[in-house]
Amino acid sequence: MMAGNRLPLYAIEIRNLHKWYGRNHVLRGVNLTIAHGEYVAILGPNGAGKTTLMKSIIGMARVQKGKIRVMDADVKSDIRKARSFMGIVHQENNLDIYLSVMENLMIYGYMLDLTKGEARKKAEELLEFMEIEKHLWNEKVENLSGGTKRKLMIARALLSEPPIVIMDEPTTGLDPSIRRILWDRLLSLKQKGKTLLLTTHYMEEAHYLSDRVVFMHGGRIIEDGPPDALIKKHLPPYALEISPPIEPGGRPHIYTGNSLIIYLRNPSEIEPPEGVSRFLLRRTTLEDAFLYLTGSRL
Amino acid sequence: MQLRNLSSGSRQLSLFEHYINDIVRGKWFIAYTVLLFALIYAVLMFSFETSQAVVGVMNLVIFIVPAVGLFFTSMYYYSRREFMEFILSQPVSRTFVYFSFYLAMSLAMIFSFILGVSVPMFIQGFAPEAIKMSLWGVLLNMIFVAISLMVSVLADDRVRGLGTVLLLWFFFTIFYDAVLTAVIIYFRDYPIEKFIPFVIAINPVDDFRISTLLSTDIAAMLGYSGAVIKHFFGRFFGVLYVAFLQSLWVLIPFLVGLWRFRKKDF
Ligand SMILES: Nc1ncnc2c1ncn2[C@@H]1O[C@H](COP(=O)(O)OP(=O)(O)OP(=O)(O)O)[C@@H](O)[C@H]1O
Ligand SMILES: [Mg+2]
Repeated sequence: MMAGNRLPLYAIEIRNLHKWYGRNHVLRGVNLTIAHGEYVAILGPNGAGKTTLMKSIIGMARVQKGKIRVMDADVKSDIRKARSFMGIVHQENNLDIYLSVMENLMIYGYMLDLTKGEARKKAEELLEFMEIEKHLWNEKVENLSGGTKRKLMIARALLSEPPIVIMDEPTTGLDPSIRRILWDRLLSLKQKGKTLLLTTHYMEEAHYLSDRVVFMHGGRIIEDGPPDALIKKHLPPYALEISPPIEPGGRPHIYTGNSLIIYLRNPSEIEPPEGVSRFLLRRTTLEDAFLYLTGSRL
Repeated sequence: MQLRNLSSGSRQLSLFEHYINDIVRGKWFIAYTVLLFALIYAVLMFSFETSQAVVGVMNLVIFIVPAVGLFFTSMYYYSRREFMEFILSQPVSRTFVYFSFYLAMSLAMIFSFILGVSVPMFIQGFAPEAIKMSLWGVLLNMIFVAISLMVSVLADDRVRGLGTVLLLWFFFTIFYDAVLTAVIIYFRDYPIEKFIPFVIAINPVDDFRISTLLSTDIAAMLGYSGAVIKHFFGRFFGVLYVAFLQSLWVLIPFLVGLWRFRKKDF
């Protein structure tokens, strides 16, 4: 693998990446670097190219232009080595649904050249780590709930003990309590020094988990930075949702349906006018920043 | 823990083992084998001479084996596509994944062919014919698994893939012979037999029929194209020629599928 303890400069390095599906120009010059041990979330609306970017990094979608390095391996010329650094959780469920929970991990363990005993020990550790209850271990995957399947996919991604974990919408469709458990598990991986790249539609998740968020829109990265700094850079700290809309008076604002969000420096800048049906003052969030920059919902 | 030995033998074996285990444990696989055995056994019970037995078995095989090979391979491919995507995102070569899939599927089909066709023939006392039929059966199975795998890899849409496979089955087992017969009758005054060696190359089902009949020497049932082949090449080289065509029918779809599989986006 790597000589001594010297790490390459970046865990993941992407330069000027372009990808076309037929005539559809899906990635339009993506540049992104991720440091070792960094947690990065990619946010973007449906069709922004998040999954395509993930698939390019793991070498499942062939890119026509640009460069990707994972640790010290080039994805184009040395995909096997690059993949050996990554654990992957895909957006779709791709467990073997006809096998049991345990069998899914064991099969993968054999692929990694573990002996039966090693694979079993490792599988048990990971099932416990991901808080999958013991009585489910021999259950067929097709009978599991969405949350357990997701936990199992994450367990499987960790089996090879990869330094980098890549997750495409790991918590979409899960209930809030399972989502919390997953967040907790993912943060405890951070202590082990892992690097995490994930996509999500939940700005709350991005804010909670990541050191840095990346906004994607129309195949480009339009913003990149720590969540709080990013909000601060584009918008004042308070957001006022008001309906029907009033005159924003030169302040930054966005229209969403038939209501208006005005961003304020000062919570008491605007008094509730007469006859408004909605008047909600809150803190500015990542989602506001994204909406403001793109006019699209996440 | 490091990922050991990226291309070591044992890991590759385990993927193949996984597929074959998975296929052979399937309900449909067991049902097919039992049904094939019962049908062939029944046909043999009512056959009183060797040629009758061979022709009876052959007709059943021609009708069933291509259909099952085509359908099972595609259905299985599409039902395991997501899991295959996961495997492909691992440090294994795509060629190897494709090869494991093909080999497991072919071996499973060959296994049920031997249990369902060769064994009843042996039991009923047609041992020499059973051996020949098994050899041609191996090729027949390998051909239709290869064709079906190629179609599945080319067609991302499951419905389109299964539809194509259905059309191919119809073409090879029903349509082609009907058209060929019509052409032969229509052009009977022209020297069309020259073209027969090329014409039969288009249909692997015909190849199976001719190779089975030529090798068991049941000339009476050879039919027009078989008779021409025998006349052209003699029996021995006729068999070789048809075996060569069948090998191409394995190789070409296999390679086209592999080529696409290696460069496609998943
Ligand atoms: N296999 C494919 N073949 C052709 N086009 C594709 C393929 N996969 C994605 N696309 C197209 O690429 C664009 C980006 O899709 P992608 O899946 O990367 O978006 P995404 O940001 O992951 O969206 P979502 O939030 O819905 O998951 C879309 O226009 C989509 O239609
Ligand atoms: Mg996606």
